[in-house]
Amino acid sequence: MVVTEEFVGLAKAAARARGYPDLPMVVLPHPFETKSAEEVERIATEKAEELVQKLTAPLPPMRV
Amino acid sequence: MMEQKDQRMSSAQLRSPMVEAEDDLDGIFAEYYKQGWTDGLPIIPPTEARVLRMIEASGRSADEVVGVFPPRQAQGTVEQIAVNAVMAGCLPEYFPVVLAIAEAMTDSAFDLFSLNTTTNAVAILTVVNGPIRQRIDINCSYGLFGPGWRANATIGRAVRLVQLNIAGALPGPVSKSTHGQPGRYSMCFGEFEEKNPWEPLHVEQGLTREESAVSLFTAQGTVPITESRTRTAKALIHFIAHCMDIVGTNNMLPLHPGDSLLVLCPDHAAVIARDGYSKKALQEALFEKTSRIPISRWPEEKHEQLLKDRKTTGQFVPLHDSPANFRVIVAGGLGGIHSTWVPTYGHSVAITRKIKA
Repeated sequence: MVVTEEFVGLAKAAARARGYPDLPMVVLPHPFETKSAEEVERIATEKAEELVQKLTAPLPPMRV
Repeated sequence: MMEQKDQRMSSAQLRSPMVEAEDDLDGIFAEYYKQGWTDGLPIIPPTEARVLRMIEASGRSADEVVGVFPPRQAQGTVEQIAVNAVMAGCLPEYFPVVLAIAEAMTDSAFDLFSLNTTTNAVAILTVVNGPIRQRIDINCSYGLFGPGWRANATIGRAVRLVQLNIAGALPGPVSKSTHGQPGRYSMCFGEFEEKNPWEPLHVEQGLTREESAVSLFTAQGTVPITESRTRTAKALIHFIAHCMDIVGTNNMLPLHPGDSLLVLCPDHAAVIARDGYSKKALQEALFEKTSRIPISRWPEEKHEQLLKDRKTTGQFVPLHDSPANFRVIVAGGLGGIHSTWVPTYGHSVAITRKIKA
C-alpha cells in the first residue's frame, strides 16, 4: 500500500477489514497532490528503494 | 440496545450487544454521542422493544444479511439496520424503504467503499417512487430537500447512521470528506410522479408504476437553477445547461462516465413538455448543450492532461459521455422558478431497488 500520512489510519483499517492487517505500507508526506513536479521527483527518488522492497516482498498471510 | 420487556416477537434471536441504562434521554444521547454512534443529533434509544417492532414491520428475519458494508466489510443484518432505523426516528412502516436502500447501497456498482472514505463531499441521495409515497407520507413537493417530513428526514438519517455504525464511516479517522455537506444528515425525497409529464424514474429503470422503489444517487451537492423569465423549452434548456457546465464537479473529471440528476420543479417540467419535448429529447438537448465546454474555463496548466483524459474534440470538453447520463426527475412545489441540478460522485449510475413491503 502507498498512502499519504493523513490516510494511514484508514488504510490500516481497510486492510485489516479485508484480512491483511500486516500489509506492507509506504507512507508519503501529505498533501501530495499539491506538490510541485520537482518535489514529487525528490520524494519518489527517496522512497524508490523502500517501494521496490515492499512491493516485491512476499504477501503476509491473510488473517480473517 | 436497551433492556426492556416485550411480549411480541421472541427476543432470543437478537444478537446486538445489550447495555442497561437509566431511563434518561439526555444521558443516553450523551453516551451514544461519546461512543461515536450518532450524527451529532439526539437519537431515539434503540430499546429491545423498539428494535423488535421495527424488524417485525419488514417481515424478514433479524439475522438475515442484507449486504456487506465497506470499509469495515461488516455483514449488515436486518437487526443492525433496524437498530439504526430506530435511532434515526423511523416509524416501523418506513423500515422496508430503509432495507431497500441498504440493499442498493451495497450493490458493488455503487462503490460504497469510496463514498464512505473519500475526501469528496458526496452524500447518498434517495429518490422514492410508487404508491409507498402516499402510504407513509413521503414529501415530493414544497420543501423537497427538507426539512419537515418525518419519513423523508428519518429514512435519510437511517442511511447515514448505517454508513456510520455498520460500515464504519467515522468522520475524520475513516471518512476523509474535507467539508462534508448538509445532505450527509439526510437526503431523501419522493418524485412528484403526478406532476411528471414523462415516465417516473422507477418505470425508466424497468419497474411498473404500481411498484414502489428507491433509486440511489451519489450527490456531491446541489446546484441551484433559478430561472423565471423563460417561456420556451429551448431557452430554459439553454439556461439549465449553463448551470451544469461548471468545472468543479466530479462529473467533469476524467474517467467519470456516470449519471447526474436534474430535479425539475413541476413548472419547469411543464414548460419543457409544453413545447413537445419528451424526456429523451430533453436529455439529448442537454447533452448537445454541454458537450462543447471551452477548455479555456480550466487553467492552462491543466489543458494538456484534460485533452488526453477526456473524449474531447480539439478545444472543447464534454460534461457527460451520453444523453442517457442526464437523469431527470420531477419534484418540488408549484408556482416555483427553482429547479436543482445534483452533480454526482462521477462514476456511479443510479441504482434502483424494489421496496418489499
